[in-house]
Amino acid sequence: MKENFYIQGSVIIRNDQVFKNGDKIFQPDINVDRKDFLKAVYTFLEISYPKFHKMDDLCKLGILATEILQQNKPINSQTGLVFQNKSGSLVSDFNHQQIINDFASPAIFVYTLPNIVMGEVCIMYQLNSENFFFINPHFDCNFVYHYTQNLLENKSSQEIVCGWVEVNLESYDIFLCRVNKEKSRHIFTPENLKKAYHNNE
Amino acid sequence: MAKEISIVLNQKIYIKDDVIISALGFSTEENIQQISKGISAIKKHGIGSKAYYTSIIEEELINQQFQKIGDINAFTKLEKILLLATQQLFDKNPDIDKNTLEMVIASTKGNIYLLGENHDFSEERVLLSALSEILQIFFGLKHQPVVVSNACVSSGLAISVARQLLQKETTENVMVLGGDLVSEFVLSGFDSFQALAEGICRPYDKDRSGINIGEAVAGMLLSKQPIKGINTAILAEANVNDANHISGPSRTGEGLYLSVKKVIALAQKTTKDIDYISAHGTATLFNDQMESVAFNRLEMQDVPLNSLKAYFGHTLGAATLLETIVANYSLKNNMIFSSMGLQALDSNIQLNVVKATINKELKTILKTASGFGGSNFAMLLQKEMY
Repeated sequence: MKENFYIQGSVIIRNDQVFKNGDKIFQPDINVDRKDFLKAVYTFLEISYPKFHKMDDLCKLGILATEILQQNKPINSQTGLVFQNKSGSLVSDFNHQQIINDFASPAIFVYTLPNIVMGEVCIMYQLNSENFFFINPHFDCNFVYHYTQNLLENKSSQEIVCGWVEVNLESYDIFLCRVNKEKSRHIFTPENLKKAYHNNE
Repeated sequence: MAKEISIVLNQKIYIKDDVIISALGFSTEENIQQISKGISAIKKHGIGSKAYYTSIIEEELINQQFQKIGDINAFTKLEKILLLATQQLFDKNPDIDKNTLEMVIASTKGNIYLLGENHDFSEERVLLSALSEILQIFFGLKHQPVVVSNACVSSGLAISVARQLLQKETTENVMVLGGDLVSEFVLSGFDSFQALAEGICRPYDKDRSGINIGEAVAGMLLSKQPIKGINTAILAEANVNDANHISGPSRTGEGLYLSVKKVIALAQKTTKDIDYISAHGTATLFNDQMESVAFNRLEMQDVPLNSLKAYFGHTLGAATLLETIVANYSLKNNMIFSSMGLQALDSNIQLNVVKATINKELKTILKTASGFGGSNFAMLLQKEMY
C-alpha cells in the first residue's frame, strides 16, 4: 500500500512577487530590477546572512524561498532536497565565460554548477541531507512527485523540500514546497503539486 | 509496513554491462588494458592561451567511429561520444526493449564550450536538457532520459536515480551515462582556484599539488535481474551534504563520513565487510586530507584504497561511473590497481593506499566521491554467484 505524505507549505517567487501558500506576501512598491528585487525580499524577510550578497541569483532565490518555507517551523537537518530547472547555472556560466580570457574569478566560477544552490541551502540551514538536482525543459511535476515520494517511502529522507528553481538571463521562476508525513490539508499527489505550482493565478 | 520498507531497501540492482570512452580507448576493455600497463591519459595540451595537463579524446578518432552511425557535423563532440557509448551498449545487448528502457544522463557542464565559440547549433544546445533530447531521438527511446547534475558526484547519483526507476514494475533495464569534456571554461575556473597540478596528479602523495581535469564518457546498463554466473550487485547508495562550504570539503569529513555510515546501514553491512575502497582522491591538499579524516573516523584506515585520477584525470560528471566500472573489474578479477602517482604517502594521511597493483580476494567494495556544493556519495558493490 502506498504511504501518504503531505504538503506542509509552498512558496512561489515569480514576476517580482512572493507568494506563500498561494497568498501574496510581498511585492515592491515600484518596478525594480532583479538585483534590487532580491535585496528587497531579503530585507522584507529580515534575514541577516552577509554571505547572501556574494551569491548568484539562483542561490539567492533558493535561499529566499527556503527561508519563507521554514519561517514558522525550522526544517530539520535530515531534510532532503529535490530541485529541478531548465537552465542549470546559465547566468553564472555567462558571467564566467565573459571573463575567462582575462582573469577567471573563483567567486564566480564556483556558482557555475546548478547544485550549488542546494549547497548554500544546506549550509544556511545546516542540512546534512541528500541532494538531487535534475534538469528538464519544464517543471515535470510527475517526475518530481515520484522521486520525492520514493525517497520518503524508502525512509531515505524524513522530509523533502522539492520544486522548480529556474533562473536565466531574462527571467526566473521559483517554486518550492515542503513535504513530510505530518497530516495537513493537502495530500502530496502530482495534481496537488501542480496546483501548488500554479497557486498564484 | 516495516517489512515492506526493508524489501525496498534491500532490492538489489545488477551491473549488466558497461562502457568507457576516454583518451585511453573506446571500450572498457581498451581502457582496462591501458591502465593495467600503468599508462596515463594525461598529457600537456594547449587550450586557449595556456597549456594544461589534461586528458583529451582526439576528435578525429571520434569522427572515424561516429561516421558509421551518424552525421559527424550534426552533433557536438560530447554528444558524439555519448551516442557512441550508448550504441556500444545497444550493440552488445540486442535484447534491450527501447519501449521500456529508461535512461539517466549525468553531466556537470554538457556542451558549455559552445558559449565561447561561433557555431551553427541552436542556442538551446548549451543546456544540459539538450543531451536528453538528442539521445532520445537518435535511438528512438519511448521514455525521455532523466538528466542529473550534481557536480562531481553526478554519475553516482545517476545510479541512485536508476535504482528508483527500476522500482517501476514495467522497467527491466536502465542505462546510466556520465559525460563531460575538457574546456577552457572548466580549466580556467579550476586554474583560478589554483587547484591544477603541474604534471600528472599525485593523489595522497606528500608532494601532491592539485588535480588534472580529464574528459570521458562512461555508461552502465543496470538491471533488476541477475544473470547466470558471476554478478555484481549494487547493494545501496547514499549521498549526504557537508553543510560546510560550497567549494571546499569539510575538515571533519562529515558528509563523507555520514554517507558511508548510511550506505553501510542501508546494505545491512559493517565496515569490516569492506574489502576495498575506490576513493575520490583528486590530489588536492584538502580533498585527500578530508578523506583520510573521514575514513579514520569510520575506522577504515586499513582497508586497501586507491584513486584512479592519475590515469584519467578528474572526469567530472563521468568520474564516479567511470571509476565504478574500473572498480567492478577489480571486484570480478580479485585485484586492485595501483594508486598511480603515489611515491611517498603524506604523513598527515593515514590510509592504506595501494602503491603497486595487488591481488586480493574481493567480495564487497565501497565507491566514494565528493564534490562542489558539499556533495558526498557512497555506494556498495558486492560480487554474487547465481
